[in-house]
Amino acid sequence: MQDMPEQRLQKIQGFLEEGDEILDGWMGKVLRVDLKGKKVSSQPLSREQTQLFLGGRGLGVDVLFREVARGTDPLSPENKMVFATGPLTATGAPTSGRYSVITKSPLTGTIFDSNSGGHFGVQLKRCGWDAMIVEGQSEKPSYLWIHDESAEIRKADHIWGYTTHKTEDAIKSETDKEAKVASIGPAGERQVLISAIINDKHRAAGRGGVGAVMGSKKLKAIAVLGTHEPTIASRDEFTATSRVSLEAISKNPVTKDSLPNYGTTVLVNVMNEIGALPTMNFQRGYFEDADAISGETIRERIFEKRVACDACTIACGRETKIPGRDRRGEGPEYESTWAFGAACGVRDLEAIAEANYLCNEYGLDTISTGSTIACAMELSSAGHLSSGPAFGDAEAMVSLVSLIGEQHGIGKDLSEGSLRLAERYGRPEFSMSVKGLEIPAYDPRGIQGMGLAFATSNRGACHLRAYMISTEVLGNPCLIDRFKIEGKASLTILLQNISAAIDSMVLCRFSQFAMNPDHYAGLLHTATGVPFTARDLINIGERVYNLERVFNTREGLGRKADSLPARLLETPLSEGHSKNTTVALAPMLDEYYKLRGWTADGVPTASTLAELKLGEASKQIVESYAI
Amino acid sequence: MRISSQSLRQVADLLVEEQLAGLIDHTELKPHVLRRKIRSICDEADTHGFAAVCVNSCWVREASEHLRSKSSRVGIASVVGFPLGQMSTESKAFEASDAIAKGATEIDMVVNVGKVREIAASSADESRTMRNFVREDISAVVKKADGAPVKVILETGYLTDQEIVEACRISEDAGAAFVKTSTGFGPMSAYPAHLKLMRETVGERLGVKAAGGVTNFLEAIRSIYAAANAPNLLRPDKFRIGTSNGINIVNSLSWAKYDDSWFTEEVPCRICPSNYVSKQPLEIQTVYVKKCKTCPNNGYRKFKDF
Repeated sequence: MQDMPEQRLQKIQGFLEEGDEILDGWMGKVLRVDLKGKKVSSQPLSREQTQLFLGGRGLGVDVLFREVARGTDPLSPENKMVFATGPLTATGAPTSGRYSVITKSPLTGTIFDSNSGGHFGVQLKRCGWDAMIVEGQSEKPSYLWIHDESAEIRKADHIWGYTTHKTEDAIKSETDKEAKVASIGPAGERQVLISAIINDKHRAAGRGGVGAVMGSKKLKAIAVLGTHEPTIASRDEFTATSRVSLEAISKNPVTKDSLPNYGTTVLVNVMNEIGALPTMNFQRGYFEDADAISGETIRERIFEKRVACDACTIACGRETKIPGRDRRGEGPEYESTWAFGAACGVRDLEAIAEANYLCNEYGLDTISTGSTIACAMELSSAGHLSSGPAFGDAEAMVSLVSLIGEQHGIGKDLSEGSLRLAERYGRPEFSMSVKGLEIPAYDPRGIQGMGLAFATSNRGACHLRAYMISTEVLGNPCLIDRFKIEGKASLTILLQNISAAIDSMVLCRFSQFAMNPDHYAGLLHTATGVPFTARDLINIGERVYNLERVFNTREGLGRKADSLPARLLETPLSEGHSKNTTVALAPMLDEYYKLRGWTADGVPTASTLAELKLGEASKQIVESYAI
Repeated sequence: MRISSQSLRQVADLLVEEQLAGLIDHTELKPHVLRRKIRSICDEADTHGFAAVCVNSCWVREASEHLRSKSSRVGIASVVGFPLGQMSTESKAFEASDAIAKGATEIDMVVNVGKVREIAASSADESRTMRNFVREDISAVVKKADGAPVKVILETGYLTDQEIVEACRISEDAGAAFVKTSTGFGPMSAYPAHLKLMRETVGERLGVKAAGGVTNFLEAIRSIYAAANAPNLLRPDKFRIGTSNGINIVNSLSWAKYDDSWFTEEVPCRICPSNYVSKQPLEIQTVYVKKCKTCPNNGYRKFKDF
């Protein structure tokens, strides 16, 4: 325990003062934390910001765009982190128990938002904050304790080096056992470029190295506990619209059966069946041993019980236990199962679960970690990495996770992600990544729209910017031909826009299987009293997507960055139900830029930005690129 | 059968959620269903404005009382002779009569599929006998339905095109109000080609019901294109969709408003019954496969994902 004076909570000046405008749904306040000056302060959330960006991802992108200058080193004190909730967080709206972390990624150099479930986000908002901006860099390890309108920067020397689980236990014992904690593990402390932020022990703001940014600021953790509630504009109507959304979730085959029964790993067999389960670092699209790592097998062998985030009836989370060992945790989810399984040619489910648990404890992104190990396996099999791991070697795979988390031995090379690793050994094409972010568990050669979505994602290869799998494979809201390119640009844009809006409301993207744009607009309208329509939401999503794009353009990214690894563009799969196909990216990309109102180089035009009320962004682009 | 993007878009433009809901029979026919589920589908049908609930005859009283307690306008369709249609005419007639007495407002009966197939397979005299049998089988139910509309389930996956046409004509002769594709327990779902054939045969005189495998708005729109592609047919007395996914269909229609690209033309084989013959008896499968070989769209079968 620390000295009492340092533990005293500081009531933040400016918190809900007389005359402040109350915005239904939002708390109306943003907490700003200056780690260098050790100051915490409050600033109002403007009505204009809420109308233009809602919250979450949108709000964070707006802050980053305005406050983080072009060329900022992501691991420098000048980079900032925004922890943001949305207007529906803590309202009880279906699947609203999430939060976003927005920063400039050290892995990709792009704008980045990473999103996590659990209970942390709800408590952050209940403290009275829509968002928290963390800036500067602490001289020594520290953690934040936020309790309602009070906040304190505390020393964290004594817990520096702890795993995320141990960190959470220690901080709860020092603050409040009911507090919710988001922390980094040894990986984030060492600024591993694929490190994550872990909250509620098992939930991750996983991708893009957001843990490394937190580590660079020597911020070990954030603990939150609050008692405030956002006001709801129309309680009865909000309850009614929530009920309609809940009914939709309870009637959709994916959200009523597949996810509750098998979790996200239900996709292992689905993707393998269509020949799009990337195997052995995307050398194949079919994994003979898929059944050994499927959702059905997980349920049979390691499943203990279902776990739900705050305000969620789907409960896709799995508490699991490795039989015969004193090892339990949550997951692995589909992406993690794939990354440590098919991607590495590993069929040992217990090893996959162990690798997943280790990632949560070290604070690592499972997708990038598994995919980087798969890249190392291919480098090794091609003779570039002497005594490196071999495909299928489960033991080596597990031990590499620890080595990456500790940046020890070969793990140091792998800790920078697959692109830097492959470049170091002269084979950049072995990195299955876009903009430096490892591609998740869907081989786009069998799913054309997903290929375009990966290529045009503003944060690098991400399946959630536009989850085209939903329509191209799962038939939600309807099944479209996964091999065709016709119409894919338009649908990718629609899903990117609505997804950006959902991320800015900070709802779980799984709700999208069942809920339609009108459902989302109904929830937002009745909670905030602002008559948002579905079309408004799509426009807000488009604004967020374009502002992200401007941020990246400002950093020098253009069409060249909107590509896929050569393997996916040139080498057809040789087996399975997606064989003889590659991604026809160029024509889809041309159409995509045209429909987006961007130049042929992928730069948003001044008129597009003006239409989206992004005047400031437009001005910067015009000045920088003379468009 | 090919359905162009433009055609699908045109159908979608005719539809609003409430209207689509009014064409849906909210269906629960599983053998293991519990009472609370029946009450639940009644509540849902009432909330969403579906045309009817479709249940097994043993649940008619439950559904009727529950809907009456809500003063609901939702109809109650009872299946009869379900799912095989191989009961005696008397037993089908009794089941229909009993269902009506207990509150059914519509009857969905299964035709005697075997007898329909005998018509084409028999000599002229025997064929006539079989035709009369099928007609009597249906008309006995129509009489006991006491004015309530009777939908005749043809189980199209067991029939050739010629037999589908024959069954439609007999149904009309026997006084049926609708012809319906499938039970959902047979070898095939509702496919546009069968629906189109049924509509062409019965014209605007009878209704057509697509049942089996319609789970989202795009499948619903394809069915409507095939069997109800005119404003005067988009009425609950001329077209229905039988599905347990009604809520999902109506919910998903909202997405159609925000992009035209959902309506790109599907590879014709993917919506063709000849591509889904694996559960058919061999002699029927042979007919479908033969038809496929002479189809102008046969080139698509060389496409990778079949």
